[in-house]
Amino acid sequence: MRSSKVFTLFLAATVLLSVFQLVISKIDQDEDEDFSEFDDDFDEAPVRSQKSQKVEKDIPETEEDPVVKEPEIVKDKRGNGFDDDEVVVEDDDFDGIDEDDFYDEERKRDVPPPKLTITPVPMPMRGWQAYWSELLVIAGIAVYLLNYILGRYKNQRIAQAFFEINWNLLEENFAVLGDSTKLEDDQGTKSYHKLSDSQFQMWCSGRVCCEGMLVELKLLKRQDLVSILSNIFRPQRDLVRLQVEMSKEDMDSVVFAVANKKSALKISKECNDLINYCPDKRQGDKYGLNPQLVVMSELGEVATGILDSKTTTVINKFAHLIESIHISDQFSGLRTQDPEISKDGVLKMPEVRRFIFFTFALPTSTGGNNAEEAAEEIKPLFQFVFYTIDRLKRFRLTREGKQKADKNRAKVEEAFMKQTHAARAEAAAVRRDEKRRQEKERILQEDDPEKQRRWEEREQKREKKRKQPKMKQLKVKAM
Amino acid sequence: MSSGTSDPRRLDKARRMRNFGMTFEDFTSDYMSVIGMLFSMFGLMMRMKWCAWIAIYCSCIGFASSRIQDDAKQIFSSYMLSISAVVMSYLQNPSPMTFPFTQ
Repeated sequence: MRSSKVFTLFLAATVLLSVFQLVISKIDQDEDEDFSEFDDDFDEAPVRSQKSQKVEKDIPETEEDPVVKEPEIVKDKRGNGFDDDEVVVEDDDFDGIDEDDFYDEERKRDVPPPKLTITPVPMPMRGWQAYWSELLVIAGIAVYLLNYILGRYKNQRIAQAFFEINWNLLEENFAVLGDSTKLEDDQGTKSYHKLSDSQFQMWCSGRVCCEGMLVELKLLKRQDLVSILSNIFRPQRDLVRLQVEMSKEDMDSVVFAVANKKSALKISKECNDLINYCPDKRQGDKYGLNPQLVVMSELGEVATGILDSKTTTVINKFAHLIESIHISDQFSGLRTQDPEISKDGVLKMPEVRRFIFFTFALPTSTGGNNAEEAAEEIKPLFQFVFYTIDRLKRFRLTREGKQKADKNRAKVEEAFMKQTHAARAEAAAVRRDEKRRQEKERILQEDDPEKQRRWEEREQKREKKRKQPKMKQLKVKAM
Repeated sequence: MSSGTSDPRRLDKARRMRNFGMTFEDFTSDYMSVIGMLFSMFGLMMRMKWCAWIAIYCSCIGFASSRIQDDAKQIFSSYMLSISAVVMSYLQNPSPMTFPFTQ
């Protein structure tokens, strides 16, 4: 879709360019023709001297070889013509030459002069030094391409090290590793999938309590020199995100998030569920966490229930590597997605799924040289992920907590219904009109006039009935 | 810390990859192809050589940021357009490049 749009744009641009070139060539032609009126009005000699002078002036500007030749030819002929003695004696010759000249010039417009022998005039001597800017640009491109090869290799190494070191843990926990849609059997590809030179992912499934887990690696764009330069001004880190989709029976009504300040700002604005259920943010030290971290929770008991001693210890130990931990049974996507696009989005609530998102930062350097050490450092966090999943399966809210949570969900649904009421009413009206139109078409197609009349009478009665209740309401209000 | 003695793996619970909750989206490749095209056109029509060279850079950046599933034809056409812009600019006017702010 995107490529066809781009192709259309390119086609339009090409057409525009060809039209533009045509226009330019026509203007050049017109300029030549502008001077043609002077040829007949004045004497040929001064006119030709004017022309040759004009042509001579053009040499340093245009530097085209054929033009260089012209004044010499004209000069020669002029040389013949200016000799006073010869003017009287060689009148006929002069006239003849004139006619030939004009004839040649007229012919030049119709037929290009192929019989002229163009002696090769050397290019103006500039030397390579004059092209310093071009050489600089070409050197820049060479450096960019070299960096591309190097950066791509580095990212590949980081991804390989990460998956190799954590492979055992993944194999212990999941029956199927790698996206199995590509293979005939259900064993999975047993390898990660490369999305681009800086993004890698692997799908794992076949475990209790979860539908599956997607491991995503978003590395710095080491293959792009511009990204590396912009990283100097706005430092970023390699990220690893684990998205675990939980089964319906394995997760209670929980909406909870722990994140560092920057990520907390981002996810609290982007995720619909956090916007709806977790309007407040609390400092981490209220729950015994690192003060850099921020806690967002729907219910207080959820926060205290999830943040037990072990979890708190791990989070505090790896606080510098934790971007965000987001647990939600009401995850319905990001706010940027337009709800009006899908028909279902307008008419009913968007589908909610149970997700846990763990986003960690890989402690790799910008150069990407310590891939193995970084993967080893993050291994305990990987184990913590599975610990949390198993805990959440057992975690249950108290009765009051469950009631509160259900009330919150009902409130959110009601608010959504109110918001889309207008849109839904419009959709219902459109559906009604469509049905009526189809009925009318059906009736009109029938040849029986009796039936048509009866249907029209029924329609009129229906219209009257629709208008009547409004009048009645007004009457009551007046009283 | 993981699951104790029992094996958590269940082959019957294996699922195919569904559409995810969140994805890392990167549109640099698309933006660069459009910008590269604009610079090539500008370089050709206005006869500004530096525009054509920037178009080559944009094609390179778009290529580096491209996803594996992206169509290679788009990147290739972007490169060809920018290279043709440079070549045609120099054929029409072989003098060295001048920048607008230096002259």
